[in-house]
Amino acid sequence: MARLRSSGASLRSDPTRVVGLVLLAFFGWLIVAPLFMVFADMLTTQPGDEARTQTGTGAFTDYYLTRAFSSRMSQIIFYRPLMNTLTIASVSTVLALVIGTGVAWLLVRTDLMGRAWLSIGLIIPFMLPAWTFALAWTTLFKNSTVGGQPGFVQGFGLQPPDWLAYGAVPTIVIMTINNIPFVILLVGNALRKLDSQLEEAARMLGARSGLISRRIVVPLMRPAVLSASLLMFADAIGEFSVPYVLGLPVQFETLATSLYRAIGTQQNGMAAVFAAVVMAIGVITLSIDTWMMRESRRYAIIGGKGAMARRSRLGRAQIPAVTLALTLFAVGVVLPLGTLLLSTIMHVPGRFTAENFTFAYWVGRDLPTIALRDGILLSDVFWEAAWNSVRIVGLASLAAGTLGLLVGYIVVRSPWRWLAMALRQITFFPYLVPGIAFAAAFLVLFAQPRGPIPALYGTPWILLLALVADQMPFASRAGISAMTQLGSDVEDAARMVGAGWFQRMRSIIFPIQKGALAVGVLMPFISGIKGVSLFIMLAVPSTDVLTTFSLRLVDYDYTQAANVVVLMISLIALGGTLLINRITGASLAQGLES
Amino acid sequence: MPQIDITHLTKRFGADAPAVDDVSFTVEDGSFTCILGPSGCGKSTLLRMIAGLERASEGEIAVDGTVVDGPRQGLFTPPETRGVGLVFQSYALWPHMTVEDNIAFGLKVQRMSTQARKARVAEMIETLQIGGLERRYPSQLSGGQQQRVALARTLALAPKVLLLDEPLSNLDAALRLHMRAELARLHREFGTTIVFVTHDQWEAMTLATHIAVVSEGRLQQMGTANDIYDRPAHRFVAEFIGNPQINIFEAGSAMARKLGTDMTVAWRPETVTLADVGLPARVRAVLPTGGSWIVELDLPEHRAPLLMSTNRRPDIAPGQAVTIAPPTELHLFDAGGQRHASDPISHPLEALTQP
Ligand SMILES: Nc1ncnc2c1ncn2[C@@H]1O[C@H](COP(=O)(O)OP(=O)(O)O)[C@@H](O)[C@H]1O
Ligand SMILES: [Mg+2]
Repeated sequence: MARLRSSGASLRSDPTRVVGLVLLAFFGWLIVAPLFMVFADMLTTQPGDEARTQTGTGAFTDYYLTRAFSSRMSQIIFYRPLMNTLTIASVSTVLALVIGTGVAWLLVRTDLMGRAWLSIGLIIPFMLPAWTFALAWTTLFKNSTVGGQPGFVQGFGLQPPDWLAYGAVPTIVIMTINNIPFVILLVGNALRKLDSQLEEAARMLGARSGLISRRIVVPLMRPAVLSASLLMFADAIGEFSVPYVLGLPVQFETLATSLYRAIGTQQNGMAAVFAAVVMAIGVITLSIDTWMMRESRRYAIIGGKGAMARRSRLGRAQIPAVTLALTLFAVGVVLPLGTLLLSTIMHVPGRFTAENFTFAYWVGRDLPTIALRDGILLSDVFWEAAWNSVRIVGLASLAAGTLGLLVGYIVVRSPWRWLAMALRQITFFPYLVPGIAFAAAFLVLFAQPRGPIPALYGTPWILLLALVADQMPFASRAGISAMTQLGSDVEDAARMVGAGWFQRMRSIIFPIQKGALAVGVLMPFISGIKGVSLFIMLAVPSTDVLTTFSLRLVDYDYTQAANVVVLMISLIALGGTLLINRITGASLAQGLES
Repeated sequence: MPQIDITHLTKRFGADAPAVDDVSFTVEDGSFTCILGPSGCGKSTLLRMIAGLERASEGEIAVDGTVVDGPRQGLFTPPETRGVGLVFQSYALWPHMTVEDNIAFGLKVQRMSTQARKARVAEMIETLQIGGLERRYPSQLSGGQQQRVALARTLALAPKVLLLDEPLSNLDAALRLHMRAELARLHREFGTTIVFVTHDQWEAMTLATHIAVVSEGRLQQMGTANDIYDRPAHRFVAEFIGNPQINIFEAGSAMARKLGTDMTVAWRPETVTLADVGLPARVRAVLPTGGSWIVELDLPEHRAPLLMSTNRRPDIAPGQAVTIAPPTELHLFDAGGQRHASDPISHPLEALTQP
């Protein structure tokens, strides 16, 4: 009796284990099961493919693998997209790294003029959806390879060549621009923490500055730099939106676009192969990162209390340095946003005459376009889509943020190491899985009812769940770092006065962590609002969201209207990021590093 | 009335050496008991087990004769029903609540009526002299004020036993003195049994009625301040208690042999005196410590200096040859560190003056 009472009491006051197991089961269902299904699809005959594989539906087959890796078609359907993917990912990573590191050094370690403003301005591209840049690029460089409205450059009577307008080059440029802020944030933060006393100590010993940077600064910075580049690379492997917008006219395919095309043509087996390959690359990259982070623990002492960044004088290099930074700002922010903005107030792109300017696409009535009679801001469709976006992404982010904090709680408090490890790994796993592969996996899993779960396809739920899963890496990292910093004493103090587990969560943990929770909700919100791949795969007409709405406008060749929508999305993402900064007072870099 | 009986208590975290290792002692009702030991020796773990925040791996804790933690019988009483209150070393105030709310939270959890709660909070604020701080947040308080709030929060629930983890170590010197007096006052006024943990022998000696000396998870000695100073039960206790640290001559060393024993010899610096006849030595240094002096003496047979502490200004200079009076209070410890004879022994002069 006493035994029963005591275990019952402990379940009520400390259900850490139970909650941990429930979370594990939930994420097993939400994250592991869909990915498992992808692998299953890759190896079993899909409906409709019986004749090709010469087996029954669901039977084991190596048809898809063979077709992708070693058939007459392999070169075109697999190896070329693979090479394209690896090329754009590695080139854009290296470029972003080189430029970003240089700029980070200028911002953190020199007396660069206007560095306070520049360090905000140069981060802005990070807050914008990558495909904003893609649309801006087409608006500028579109040529007559595809029909529809001309691009700006064409408006001036020039014909941009295909290699400049579409495919690898613009994709690389855009992904580089989009990633530079990421490098600035991560490397800049590491530079800031790097105690300049370490450098000065070396200088006191007579080391020359070349030697200092080679033997002191570079080795100490290497972990941050490598980590940033691996994360960027893993992210770039799965990038869908940019090659989707810019690749189509010249049949430039990456793994992500091939995957999308395979789904679109009901080739689930092939889609699974692409998804698996993308995941495999992600897993390998992140394993390297994890391994290197472990190696670099030894450096963890840097950033002592007296850390103090002494700034180098730029002197005569001031002018070129400022010019460089401003150019970057112009290319990364002014040019794309300016182009988009300009495009939305012109009837015909690139014709700078007074009567060509109009606000009709924003606030006009009775437009001559068939499917869109009103300016975007006056159209019900837009507001409905905006409301859907905010509602679905908001709900998903709220769920992700809350789950993230709970994961953090369990990871820090669970008496079982394995459970902490498992939760940490599983919730981080979606980071390795590009949204498009995840969306594919969700389609497979939820297309039909399974057990107590009804078929979710065609409902907003599938999108919501996919968003939650996709955002868990951010959310759980935020949660884990917040909970790690909060000692167990404050909760134990509440236990001492008899507060049960739910009361402790409600009255102590969540209120204390409300700042972290806000970040854990807003970060996913921003990245969710910016996202494309989940929406494009999982949104259904009944739940039109901003992303699908604007892509549909692109398809109709309503460039101006599409760009208005994209600008509005950017505005939401930008506003959200600024809100995070206001709430936490912390820089975005800290959020990223956690 | 609350008496805490701890028997064969052991706590293991994973496969490491146990944090608390087969500890048995009794906290007398109304006593002011101190658990003293160097940091990392398992004091907090012991305290947290008494509080009910950790479960014992083996052994038993009983409060008032009722077993509150007994893994063998499968008994475990959660913290809130044990009638114990714990003040954390970090104070662990809830940063998002005002002082008032911090104190009231426990009462709210216990479903005390609003009116009674208000009265109780006011009473606590009065007792701990933190009036005027009600609406402040913990981050707006000084360390001393935070501690008072933490005490108020705990005492509000009228615990039968008050547990304090390193209550003075986070305070500056002046405040420590003040809080020391304050704790003594609370003990008198409330009549509660208090168990506190510290690594500081001064705190332990000046506050506690009973001291439990712990090292590496094991209880080395339990007794009054005078007991553990006069008759350290273990070599560790002898070395840990006393300032400056006790002089040690290892078993088998030249000095130990000269003193006529094959055991380890410990000689308190306070009992080292100079005399006309005795051990020849040379002054290495005279260190004033403000009101008392420490003299380092070189013995021909001993590498480390022999420390002598005195309350009168020594009239000697470094390099000077002196003679040390034959020891009158030596403590002997066997190879296992256990005390040899219950009383300190003195040593005949003749043995020392022989070459
Ligand atoms: N929750 C825990 N998990 C693992 N080891 C612990 C835990 N709590 C304490 N320990 C270990 O137990 C030993 C005693 O710790 P503690 O009781 O905090 O010492 P003290 O309070 O005397 O400084 C230390 O070695 C510590 O690392
Ligand atoms: Mg402690």
